[in-house]
Amino acid sequence: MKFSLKLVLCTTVVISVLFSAGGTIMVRQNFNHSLETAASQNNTQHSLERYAMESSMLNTIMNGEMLTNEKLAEYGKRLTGYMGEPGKQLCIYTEDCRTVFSNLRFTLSRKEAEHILSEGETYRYRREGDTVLMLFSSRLDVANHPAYLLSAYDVTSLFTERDRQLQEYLLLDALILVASVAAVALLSLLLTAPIKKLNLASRKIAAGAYHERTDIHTSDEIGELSLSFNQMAQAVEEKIDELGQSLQQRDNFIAGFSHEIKTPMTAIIGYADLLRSAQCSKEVQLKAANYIFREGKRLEQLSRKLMDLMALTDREVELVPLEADGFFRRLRDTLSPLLGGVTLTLRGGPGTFYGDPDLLQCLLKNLVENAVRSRPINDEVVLFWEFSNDRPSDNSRGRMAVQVSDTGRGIPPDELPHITEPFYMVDKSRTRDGGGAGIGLSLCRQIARLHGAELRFESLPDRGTTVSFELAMAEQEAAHEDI
Amino acid sequence: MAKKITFCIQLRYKHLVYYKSSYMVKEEEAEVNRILVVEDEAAIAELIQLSLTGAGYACEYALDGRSGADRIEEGDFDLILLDIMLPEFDGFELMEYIAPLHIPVIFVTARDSVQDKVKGLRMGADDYLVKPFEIDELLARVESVLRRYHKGQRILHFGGITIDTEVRSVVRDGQAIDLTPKEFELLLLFVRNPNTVLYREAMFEKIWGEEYSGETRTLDLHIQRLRRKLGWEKQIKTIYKIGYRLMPAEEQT
Repeated sequence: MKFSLKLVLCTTVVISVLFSAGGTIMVRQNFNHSLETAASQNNTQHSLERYAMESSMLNTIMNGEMLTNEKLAEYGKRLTGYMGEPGKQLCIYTEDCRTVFSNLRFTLSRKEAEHILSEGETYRYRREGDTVLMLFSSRLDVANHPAYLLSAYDVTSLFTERDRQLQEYLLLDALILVASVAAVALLSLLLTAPIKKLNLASRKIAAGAYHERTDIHTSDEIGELSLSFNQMAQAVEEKIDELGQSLQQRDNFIAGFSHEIKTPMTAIIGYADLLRSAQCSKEVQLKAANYIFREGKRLEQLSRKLMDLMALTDREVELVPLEADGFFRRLRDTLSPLLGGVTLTLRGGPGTFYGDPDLLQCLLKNLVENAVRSRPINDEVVLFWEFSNDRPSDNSRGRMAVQVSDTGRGIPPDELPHITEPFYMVDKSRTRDGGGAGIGLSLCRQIARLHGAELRFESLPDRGTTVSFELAMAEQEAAHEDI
Repeated sequence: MAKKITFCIQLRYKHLVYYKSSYMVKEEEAEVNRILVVEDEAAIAELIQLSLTGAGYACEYALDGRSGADRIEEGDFDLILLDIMLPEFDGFELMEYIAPLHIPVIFVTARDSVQDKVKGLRMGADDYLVKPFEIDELLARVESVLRRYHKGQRILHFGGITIDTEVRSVVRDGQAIDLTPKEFELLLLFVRNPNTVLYREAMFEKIWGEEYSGETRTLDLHIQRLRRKLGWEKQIKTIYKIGYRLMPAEEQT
């Protein structure tokens, strides 16, 4: 059930109950009050009649006449005569409840009459058809001829008035109800409009329109809700974008990976098939075997690097103090067979820093290999390091900057942000005149991160590339020498 | 009659030998199909070249998009095998250049997404082969595309028999020879690799599509039946413990 409908129904029920109850109580009190007034008026009237009867009876006795039932009837008749209002009805009974005179417009059985008379000075109602009567009775105790006087007064008008008032009131009630329902309906529509907007917006978001926002600017709760809703939508949109990006990266990874796997696979399967299908010349045999070997090596290298990369993800490393001079010299010794005519120049001062020696070797080896592969113009790759400390008293704040620069072909600016993505290659054709599958830099980035560092690339096409990162400086005496 | 046919075969076979030894030489006869491979991986380019040359095509390769375009401009090719990820110009760019020349193209690439396939085929390529592929599949697709352009060798002549590869019929002296499908496949394998020692394991796997267990006599039975039906008892030579070899047409009579 809709909220606005609920609101309308609730208000209708409450209003109708309250108004009906209130109105009924008011009408009832009004009615009771007028009934009381009428009762006291009629009581006075009855007393007057009683006195008139009693004085007539006394007069008779004082005149020495006999008080008979006939006399009583005559008095009664006279009383109705000169008190001649049209609605006046009275009845005179003897002590043993026999009717002496009556102009009642209804019949009262003897039993009923006895009952009424025995109650004494009080009044009661009697409904006769459409008319309602108020009955008063009293004992006329004159001389030794007691009698009863019973007067009946028509109070129908009071009841009809009450009914009329109730009817009028009900009509008014109905009108008010209709008006209030209309007003509440309008109000609830106005109030729920922003909720509808919110609902619509969330449905759109659920359907994929993550940029959707609500534009409700009120200071009430709904305004607040809308504000937090927008914040939520913002967060969802950002998360979705992030997810899309990582999905894109994963797709790139898979595409690159499958390319890297498929090319050597095709070659290996193809040449092997060639060899096993038919006898071929020595020349072809040698060529095929060579290709199988080389492509197999390529697969092996790829799997090794991939394993390294996987092993590095989410790994904690133990950083030990390393002495710069010794570390870089050892690095040059390991790298020298891979340089292929390119000189690796080391430049930097003495000092110690924190690092994992094996991982840092791997990182720098990859960077230097990349630099060599970029075909530097002057056949030189420079590995430069520098210690800096803005607060000499506090060694823990000291940093060591490391740079690997070449004068090779460089990287186009729009490629720079992507080069550390796995399998990303600047050359889309993935020709590898220098080898490499495109995960070296991902590996480097991972290692740098384990050292709390980020790789920075500066590059100009055909001018060269510089890769730099920073490591934490260590205290001199802590230097670790046994690597 | 028989002599005339033999003569034809000799002429044709000379081409094959010629191409096998020196495929880079330009060939005047239109019967041999010239195929260009544009592929940046030398290993794969050479593999395709070796296989296509072995199957009797004239094949050249280019290692990047630019030299590929140059070759296309110079030479008159019947078919181009095109990689997508190429240096200089990529395969799609090259395809735009090739499309107006109406040379059939087969993409041979590691890109296996549906979008790439659709894009390649929409651009006018005749087929799309995803790496890693097997050489036999490549040969089958090359043959099928060439046949579509009526450039393929639908009719093969060898040693006095005529083979129609499309309706799969074999005729000798106007007399149809009834072969089972497997026997027909075997015959095709021999005729496409004449004077070459074929290894029995590979033969079995290529024709029956199952792994060779070393015990089965199926292959030998089929070879015997094929020999009898064709009268090639001498032409199909058994190489002991290795396989079989179809002797060249010249040595037949």
